[in-house]
Amino acid sequence: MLSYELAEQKVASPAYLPGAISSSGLHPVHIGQWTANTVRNRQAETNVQPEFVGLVRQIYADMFDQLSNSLVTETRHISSTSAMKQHPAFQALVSLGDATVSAILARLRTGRIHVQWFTLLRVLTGEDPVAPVNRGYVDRMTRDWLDWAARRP
Amino acid sequence: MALFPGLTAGNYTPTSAATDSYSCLSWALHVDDRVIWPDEERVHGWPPDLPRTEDLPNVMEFLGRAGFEQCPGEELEAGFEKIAIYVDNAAVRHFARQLADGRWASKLGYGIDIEHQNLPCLQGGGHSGYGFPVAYMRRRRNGMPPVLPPLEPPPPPPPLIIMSAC
Repeated sequence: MLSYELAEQKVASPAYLPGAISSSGLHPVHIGQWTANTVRNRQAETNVQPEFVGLVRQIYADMFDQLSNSLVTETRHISSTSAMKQHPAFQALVSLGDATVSAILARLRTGRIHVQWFTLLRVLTGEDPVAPVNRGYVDRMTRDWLDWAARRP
Repeated sequence: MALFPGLTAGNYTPTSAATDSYSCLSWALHVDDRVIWPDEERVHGWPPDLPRTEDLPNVMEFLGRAGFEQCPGEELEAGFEKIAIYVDNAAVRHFARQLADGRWASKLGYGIDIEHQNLPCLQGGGHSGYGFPVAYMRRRRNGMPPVLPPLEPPPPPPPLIIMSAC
């Protein structure tokens, strides 16, 4: 059985729906990695079902919410970026790839800003659109990243 | 606070709401509008000619440029402001600034600011904890915040426009 078919079965199972993640006993990191793999496999197919894509997008959004909440809450007491990057939720958010970038940019646009977002954007995009004099200033970094997003094709 | 088993109701006082605008190192230097940290992603403010590494000598070099000198211990010395540097697994994890009455001021990551009675109440904490205070630096109190070294190159000057009078 192809992995995405297995994934579809899991999606259809109530135990794997986002709202049931905590009761399923699965760690959000594993769910995030599974979701990323599922989408990669599914995108390789030519006949993508819109309903499935929509469902996966919703799962992505839910996973981002859970993982980002976990990251922000559980690393709030940490100034060290290297220590923050060791948190499992950081690695899981990286594994979600562009979905994490899009979700972070959406949050920056609505003012829901956390300092961890900027490290994730740097790691995921490889870009550095923040002017050197603006580094460390959360509001200025937000502006520079949103300007970068507006210039993206 | 479960993250800091040494903190008890009697030995610390919250002094601010949580904010992402500055780090514990910023707060140790009286900065409350910019994150200062030697992160390798170059997200935060740091002198351009110093490595972006969390090792103790590198951070002490930075504090030296801000007017601090190494001192032997945490005891209160009249006329001096001290910074204690917490290290875990050879990486700096936290900075606390000594107040004039001997207590300490800390920003807990991107959480709240607190004033605490002593340094051990923040030490330990497991793999995501602060480790232990292992180095101390001091400067003379002068009623002013320390003068920081340039954290990034200044913006380039505007292009020179030569107007010819003809």
